[in-house]
Amino acid sequence: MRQRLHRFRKWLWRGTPESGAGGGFPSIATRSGRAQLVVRAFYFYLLVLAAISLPEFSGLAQPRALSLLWPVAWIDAMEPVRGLRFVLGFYLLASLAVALWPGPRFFRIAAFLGLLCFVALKNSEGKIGHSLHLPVLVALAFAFLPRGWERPDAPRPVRMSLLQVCAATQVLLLLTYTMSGLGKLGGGAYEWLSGQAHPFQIDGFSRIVAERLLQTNSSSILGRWIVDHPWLGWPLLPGAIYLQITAVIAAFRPSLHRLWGTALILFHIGNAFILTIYFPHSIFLLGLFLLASPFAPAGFDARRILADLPILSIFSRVTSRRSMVAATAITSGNMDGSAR
Amino acid sequence: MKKYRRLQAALIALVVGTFALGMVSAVRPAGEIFPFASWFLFSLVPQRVTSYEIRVRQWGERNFDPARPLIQVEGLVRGPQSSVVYQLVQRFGRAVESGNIPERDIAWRLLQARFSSSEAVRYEVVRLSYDPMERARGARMEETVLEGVGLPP
Repeated sequence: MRQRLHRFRKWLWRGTPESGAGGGFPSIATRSGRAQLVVRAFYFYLLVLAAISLPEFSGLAQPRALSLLWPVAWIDAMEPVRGLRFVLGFYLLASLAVALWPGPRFFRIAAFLGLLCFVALKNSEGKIGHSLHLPVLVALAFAFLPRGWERPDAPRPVRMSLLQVCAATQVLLLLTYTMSGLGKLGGGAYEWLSGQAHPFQIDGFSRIVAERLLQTNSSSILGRWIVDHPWLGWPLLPGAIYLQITAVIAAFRPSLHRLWGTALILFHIGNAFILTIYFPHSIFLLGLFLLASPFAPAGFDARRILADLPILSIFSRVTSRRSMVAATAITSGNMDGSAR
Repeated sequence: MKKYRRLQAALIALVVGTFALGMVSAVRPAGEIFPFASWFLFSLVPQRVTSYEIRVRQWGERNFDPARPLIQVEGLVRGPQSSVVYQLVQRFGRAVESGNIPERDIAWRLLQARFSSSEAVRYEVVRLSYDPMERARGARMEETVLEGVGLPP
């Protein structure tokens, strides 16, 4: 069992410096310096998020019928307007405090609670939207940052703990995409086996686009085009399923961070153009944690990326085996020649 | 080292918990355990769709003949193209069809909270049945007007 676990970990962490992969990876000091910057940027982003939400505050503070989610269910027990104002005020103050002083855990927990209540309030209108879930999860993960993480002269154990939290946050972010991919794969398999329209057939994606645009009575730049030309949209859905399902594996392989970050950002931009679904906060977090990943190696090593690709790396292995066979043939040919 | 191990365990618990609670959210009748979603978004390809539509006959002084879908009445609902409005209309339609009065009232109140005016609205609830690709290409839908509703709120 232990041996199997060891083998699984080795497979998962393939391509990391710890697994003995080649150079190009930043040192621990560089990684922790970058991680500190990522954490600070996240808390500044929370303040920006609160600031751009200010125009919504007067609407959110209005007394109206709500289906309150659990983090704000206590508002029902008090005078509603006062409760709503308290949530919004607390959220704004906590966001400001944590942007100024991200060091103390007290402020980080307050910022998490403020954001949790704000997002819960926004989603208490009868339907839960998911565009702000990721910032909440990241704020929760950052509550675990070690004491003194922000100090430039932090000792090695603190730096290691900071990196640990950053890595776990990357896993958490990408896990949500994997869960989404699993849902699509499971749903698709069920539909395929039961003889229904499924995501792998030519008009699978077009059907999703058509229904979404009909539901919201909206039109999009590329949506109509996908509905009219189903075969052009066909590769997008299986491609997105691959990208999503394997996302959590990419979190463990630093060479893939920038590639997956870019691909998932493009996925969100595509969703905006095709399905009129906007996830700008996810785009920012993907940029922060993957494009600016503290763990990503310098430069662009296509061979390493190919070797680390989940599932598809098999092609890289076949190619390298072929080139090895070719190299052996040339060498043995030379040897034969020299022998003659 | 002990602190490091404890942190490692807490982070693993957070990741595993997020996954587990998300999966529970997917099958829980009461819905999502916020903020731990299942993330099963667009996990099914629409087959033949059955959905509901609220069609407005009258809003204040304005009459609509034929009745116009709620989301197409300009200025009546805040964010008519948002999926919140769509979901609330579906919830309302399901409650009307099943005769679930308390659920119908809750859904209507939540929907009304998005109305931009308090003027009376006369409406009818219609059940639609269609193939999304055919409807998108202009084919007709099967429509059933649900009886017993359509009075001003």
